[in-house]
Amino acid sequence: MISLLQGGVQLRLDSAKGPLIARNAQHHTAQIEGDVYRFRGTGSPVIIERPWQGAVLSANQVDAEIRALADQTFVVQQGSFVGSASVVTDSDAADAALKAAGKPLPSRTISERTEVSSDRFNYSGTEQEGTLVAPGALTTTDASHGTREVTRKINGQQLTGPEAFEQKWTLVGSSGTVAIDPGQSVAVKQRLRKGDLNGPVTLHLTRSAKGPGDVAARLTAMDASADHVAFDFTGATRTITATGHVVLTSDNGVFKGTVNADKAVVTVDENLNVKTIDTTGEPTTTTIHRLGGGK
Amino acid sequence: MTKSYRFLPLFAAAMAAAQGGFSYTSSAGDVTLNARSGLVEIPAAGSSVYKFKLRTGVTARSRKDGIVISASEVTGELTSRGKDTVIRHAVATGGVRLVKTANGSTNTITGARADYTDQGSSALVVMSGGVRITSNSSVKRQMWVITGPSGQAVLGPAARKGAGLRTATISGGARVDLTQPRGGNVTATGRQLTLDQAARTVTLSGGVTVKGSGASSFGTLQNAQRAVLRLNEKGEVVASEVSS
Repeated sequence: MISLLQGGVQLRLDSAKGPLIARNAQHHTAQIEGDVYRFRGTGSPVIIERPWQGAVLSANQVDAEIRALADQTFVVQQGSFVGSASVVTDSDAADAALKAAGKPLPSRTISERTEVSSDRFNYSGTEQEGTLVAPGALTTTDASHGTREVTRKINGQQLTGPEAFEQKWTLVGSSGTVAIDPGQSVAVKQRLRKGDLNGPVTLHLTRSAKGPGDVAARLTAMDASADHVAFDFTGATRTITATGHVVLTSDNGVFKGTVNADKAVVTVDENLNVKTIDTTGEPTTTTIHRLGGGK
Repeated sequence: MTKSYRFLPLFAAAMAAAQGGFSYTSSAGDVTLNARSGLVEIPAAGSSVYKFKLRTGVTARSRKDGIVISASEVTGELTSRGKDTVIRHAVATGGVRLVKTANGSTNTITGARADYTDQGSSALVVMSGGVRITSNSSVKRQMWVITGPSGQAVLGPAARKGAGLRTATISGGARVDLTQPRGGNVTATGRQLTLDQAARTVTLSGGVTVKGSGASSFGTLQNAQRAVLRLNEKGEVVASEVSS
């Protein structure tokens, strides 16, 4: 079995790709209207998951529409999640579920776990993207670790080889919208797709990496706060844009010191490794460019 | 009251036609009894209740009620309801098969024992021993089967009106298989099951599991303590209420 019975009721909707499971509800009702399953449940919490994709939506009260797609795969199309609400997509959990089901594992060298949590949010989604709107405080974390091939220039010498890294982003806002890839398709390099957080917003980054030419792991830590933060990782240039009373602090890795600005634009690579930071402000304007993590 | 059991002289003609067995047809032809052997007690003065005891290959048929009881042995009573003769009470044992037809549907109850009691506006059947209740509706193109060790059913009074089977309750480990009109099946199990035709619900309690297959979009439900399945007028499962 892909999922374990952990108390509460389990409702399982199977498809050729894998099941959607709603479990741990103390009480739930479901209405079937054609291809749509209207699910309402209460629990501590109610969990709606697609184990084979490492995707979990949970809350103490769930009112969700689950739709059967043309290929009979079931997805949460929209819903209200109230009370300790969260959405998680976890590649390690997806691999464990696939392994337990005897299905082939995707080839990946990087594991990633993305979580967005809030007291409540409304969720709308497709198989490729899920968007949640939180009227109150929300926390977004993206933790990844693994190995990737990098090319670095050290003392004029170009080095190519594997870099092992571990990284965690944490974004906390007072309200906002976040879109993630709820599945674990290998083609997508990270699950976070877009976000728009209202302030005060805080951002925290930690990263440890050891690649070619490194004697010890390189540590990166950065904190930021702003009135508003938007990020967009869907295009070729992945950016995090902070505006209004922007404060950036770093002790190592990215830079050392504190920068006050009106706006900061951070560009990251496909693994959310910081590439550049551009800051602007009045009366002073500061621009910092630093190569991040390896290339 | 006289307690002498013997063949009723009144029915001598019917018995003769049974080729060595027992056969009875009421005067209006609305109740027939057939068996290899049988006894009928003459009603006491002022009573219209005929007591009967039939053995081997028994068939008791009540046309007004749409009831046919087949069993190895049937003991019971006939009485008058207005101008009609009906089966007031019957205890059937051994390979029991009770068929109730009404309003385009046929409900069949089988088991080791059935205790049938006419209650005026309904009839109660208490069953035991590998109970199986099936319903086929030519109107809804729907069929369901309920099985379990024991239970009871409430039947409608007439052959041509009502749902035939009003409610059915199975205890001690129950299972229902619902064949959906548009294809697919839903199978539900639990320690107890109650089918309510008027409310169009199937209520299960105790270790409930429900599994949809084929074209059914129900999915699989596990680990529930109580589940109410709501059916539409076609007999499709369209909603559920579940508690752990």
